[in-house]
Amino acid sequence: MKPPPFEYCRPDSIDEALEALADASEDARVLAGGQSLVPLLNVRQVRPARLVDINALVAERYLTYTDDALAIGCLARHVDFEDNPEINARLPILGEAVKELASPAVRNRGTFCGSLCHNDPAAEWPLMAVLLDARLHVQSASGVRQETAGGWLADRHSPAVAPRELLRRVEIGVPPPGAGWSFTEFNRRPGDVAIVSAAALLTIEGGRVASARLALGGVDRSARRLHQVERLLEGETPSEALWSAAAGEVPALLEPPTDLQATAGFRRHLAAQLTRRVFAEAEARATRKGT
Amino acid sequence: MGITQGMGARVQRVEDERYLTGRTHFIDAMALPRMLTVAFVRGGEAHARLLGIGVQTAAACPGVSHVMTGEEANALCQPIRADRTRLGRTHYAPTDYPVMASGVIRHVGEIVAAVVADDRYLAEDAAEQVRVDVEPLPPVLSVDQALAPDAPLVHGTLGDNRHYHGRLENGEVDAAFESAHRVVRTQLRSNRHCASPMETRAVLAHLDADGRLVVYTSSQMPHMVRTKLADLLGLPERNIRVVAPDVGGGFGLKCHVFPEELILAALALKLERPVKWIEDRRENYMAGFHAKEECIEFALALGEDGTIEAIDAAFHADGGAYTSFPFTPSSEPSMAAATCTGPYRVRNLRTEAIAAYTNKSTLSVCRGVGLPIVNYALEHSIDRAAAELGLDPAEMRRRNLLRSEDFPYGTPNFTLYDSGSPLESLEQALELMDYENLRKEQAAALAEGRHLGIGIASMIETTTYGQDVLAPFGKSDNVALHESAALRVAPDGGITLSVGTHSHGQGHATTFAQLVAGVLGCDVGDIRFVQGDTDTTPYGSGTWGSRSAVAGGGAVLKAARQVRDKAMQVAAHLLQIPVAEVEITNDGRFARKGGEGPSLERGEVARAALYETNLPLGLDAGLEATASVSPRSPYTTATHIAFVQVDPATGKVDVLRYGVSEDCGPMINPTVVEGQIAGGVVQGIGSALLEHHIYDDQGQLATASMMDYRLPTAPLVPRIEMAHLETPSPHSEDGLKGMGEGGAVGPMGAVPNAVSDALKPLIGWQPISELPITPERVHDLLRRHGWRG
Ligand SMILES: Cc1cc2nc3c(=O)[nH]c(=O)nc-3n(C[C@H](O)[C@H](O)[C@H](O)COP(=O)(O)OP(=O)(O)OC[C@H]3O[C@@H](n4cnc5c(N)ncnc54)[C@H](O)[C@@H]3O)c2cc1C
Repeated sequence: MKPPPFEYCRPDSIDEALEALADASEDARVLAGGQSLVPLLNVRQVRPARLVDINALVAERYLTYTDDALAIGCLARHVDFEDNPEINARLPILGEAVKELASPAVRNRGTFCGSLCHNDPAAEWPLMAVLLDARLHVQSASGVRQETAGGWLADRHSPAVAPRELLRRVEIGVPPPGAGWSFTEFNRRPGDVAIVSAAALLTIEGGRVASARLALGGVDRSARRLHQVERLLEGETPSEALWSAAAGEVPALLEPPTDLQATAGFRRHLAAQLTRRVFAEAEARATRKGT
Repeated sequence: MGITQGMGARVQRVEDERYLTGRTHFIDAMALPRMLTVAFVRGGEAHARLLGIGVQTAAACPGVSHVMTGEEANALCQPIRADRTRLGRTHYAPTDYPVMASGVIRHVGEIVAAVVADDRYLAEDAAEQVRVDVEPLPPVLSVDQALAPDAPLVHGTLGDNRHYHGRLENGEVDAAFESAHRVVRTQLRSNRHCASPMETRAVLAHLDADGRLVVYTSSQMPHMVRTKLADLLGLPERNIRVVAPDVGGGFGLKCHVFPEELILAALALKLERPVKWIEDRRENYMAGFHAKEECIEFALALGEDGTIEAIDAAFHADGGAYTSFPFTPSSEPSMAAATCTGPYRVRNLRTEAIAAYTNKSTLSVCRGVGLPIVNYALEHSIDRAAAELGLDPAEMRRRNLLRSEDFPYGTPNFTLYDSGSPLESLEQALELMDYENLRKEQAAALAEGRHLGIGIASMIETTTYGQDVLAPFGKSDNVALHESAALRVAPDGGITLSVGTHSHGQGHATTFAQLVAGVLGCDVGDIRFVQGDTDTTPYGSGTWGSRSAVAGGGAVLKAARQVRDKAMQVAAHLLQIPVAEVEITNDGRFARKGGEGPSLERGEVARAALYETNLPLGLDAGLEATASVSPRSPYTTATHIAFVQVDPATGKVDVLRYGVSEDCGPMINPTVVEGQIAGGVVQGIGSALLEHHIYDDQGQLATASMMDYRLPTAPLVPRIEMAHLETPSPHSEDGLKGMGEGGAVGPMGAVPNAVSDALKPLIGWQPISELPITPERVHDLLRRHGWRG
């Protein structure tokens, strides 16, 4: 389990990094935390000609806030979300999700942006990105473009990342105050990638669901939103029965994989179970307005 | 301190400092000048004819010294074989196990070539360039398929796919089943497990200044490796030195002699340069041996009061590709059959044990060998019987368990259980877990919609595997059953103890030293413990089968007593008193009984003996002894209780509490015993809930990494609660018994029992017919029995 030969460079600036990505003779890849890429290299499943190590770009390790958004730099690591009072105040769902993400050693190195690029269908950060309508700033030697999380992730089937591009920054919208939230995942061992994961956001006004969001992981080729279910809930009165009804809609909307972990059928079943749980918990957390 | 560090003391493990501070000598950290690294090219098919191997491109790659193929390797090294005598009517068909595939590839991961290069990176680059031409053959991928009449043959020269087929019948089995009040017949499948030691296999071979072959190997049995190297490479055994340095766990995987050890030795001899191979995890999972996968049919004939009248059991093991050495695929099912009456009073017994060749990695021994399977089958059947008869599982056991006064007890398997306390252990475990309250807690939780389950598993553990257990089946032909210890006292009174066993986590540097401390009244710190080097330790077959305390420790006690007796004679002479008047004081001095008058330090006695300054007439100089023990098998008894929660909505099982009452005779060091139990229980919980090697329908191993072969992790296991009983064995030095494997045995019965118990209010008591207990299997079981939530 040793990687095949590759060129390696460790640029000191973003420009140099983009150049190194652009002028590689063949496939070049960013090396961020290495927690997904290095295992793949070691089993020779990927064979990039060049690795561009971005770990010297320390200025890119940040979590900063604007009024309604959190900006995440491409070197922000999983650990930066852990026990972080500001995260827990503004985006507690991220603080909750990171607890389920791997083990401390992996969290110390792995990056948020690396996780989106790797795009494991059951990973926590892609789930959060689609739930929270993240905006992705992608940069290459030829320019900058913006993507939505949903579009980007659905496009990119793990572990392909557009070669020669750098996911420089991600912005996540902070949910409106009073929104109820919930995240849960089902796995065999704490820290394992989930078999199925679910996250919900809920605002309740006048005793009715004003807005609802539902994202599921592990049920498709990437994490995804279930807009059909969301629309069904809007305007309805929150109740256990409503959540069960929503959950009942879920299985038919999914085309989950069968693998060593679970069959498609069991994944559908779990997705429904988790859907009910996340909505019930989000409801309990939501501040009721205008009752 | 002296005697205070002897038998029974909770002495802190002396080896922990080196492990915890990383000052260890694992083979991966060793380097020799001009050393080369080996990467193996392994077959990618489950079953295929090997048409040709092209090595030119690989041999021309940068940094490559040599590419060895099967043709060359098999000419330098004879195939591994494990022959046996005294088989009676038992069918036993061993194979040649060539060190590299010869003509046919029989499992994914079988070695087809070895690339030797300057480092492992270059070796792997070149290994990719080796061309292997094959013609696929139909693979045999399960024991059922292997035994079907029209099955393809894994080994064409054998008439069928059976490696081993043994039967036994004792008593009136048919009559007992005919007249039974009730028959409980269960079909079960156990999972394909593997040892997963933290350190994978590793070998470093070189020639020393005299041209002797030196082989460092991560092994549990260095002397056996030396013997086999000599045998198969055609070298005088005196010209081989095998060293097992620090070894990062074995669990039975490393008590075999492997093709890789022989190939590395052949390469060192050929290239006259040091060569090293560190196994990666993928290789370990593909080509390190597997364990436990069996199809089991288990039937109990029951009397009206729950008495077990007869057992009829069949164990069919999916034995994998080759006959391993010294333990073979027969070990798993034959040990299961040989122990399948467990700790119960049973008179009538019929067993069948089969190991069949399949196109998978070879299946051999792993912690518990057969016993975990028996625990699953027997204990699950007992709980099923209890449910069907309307008895509490504890009561069902009370009615059938042996009591301490029943020992020695001859089983219908012609085994003699020497001693033990199964019933007492059950009662102790129930008390430990507060069984009555646990049942109340379970009922209260159920009222709130939470499903808790209690699973009891009683067990008896064969330990040490002496002549009495192994010889009747010819299994002792391949492995030395005695163990020796050599103890030398230096002029300063310090002691060097060298042994043929091998500790790779078990703590022998502490426990064996405690045995010496107890006899000679010294501190554990006065003793230098030496193991693992065939040049400096007496011959022995190493550490496996929970034998080290009884065989190795027994030899240590004997040697220590011989040294003590001689030291007493010298001391008596020096003190001018009769030998019978000499005693060793608590601080290790030699003095007149009662403590009056002058006394001597051990060093003074040693100097007198070694310098012949003042020896009694007729006594030889020196203060050392070598002793050996040819043990019989003492039995350890235990009861495990698992307390679990099952979420019927998702099928998830959480182990909330786990308790063990164990009687392993006198404990040399209770802390070490508890560490062994805890580690074993964790491994057993892993077996019951998580671990399983899956082959796809082409015979590709789908679980070749730790992402997919799931080991238990710390957050999954509760603190393990323990209580002890101490019934000495009449057979062994100081009544010692083995106990290294039992921890891993009980969870195989206790966890499934707890899950069935938890689901009982929803679907009645249903057996868990397949391990591991995955959430999806629990979900399917609930669905199958009509529960929809
Ligand atoms: C034992 C273990 C357990 C794990 N468990 C979990 C888990 O439970 N949940 C989970 O979500 N993850 C888990 N992971 C994966 C982990 O979170 C990784 O850190 C993450 O998937 C990738 O981030 P990274 O920074 O390590 O990326 P790398 O491994 O460095 O890169 C991954 C891929 O993304 C590309 N890439 C990385 N950063 C960028 C960028 N800024 N722009 C463009 N391309 C980029 C790389 O070229 C590569 O193709 C686990 C990993 C391990 C080893």
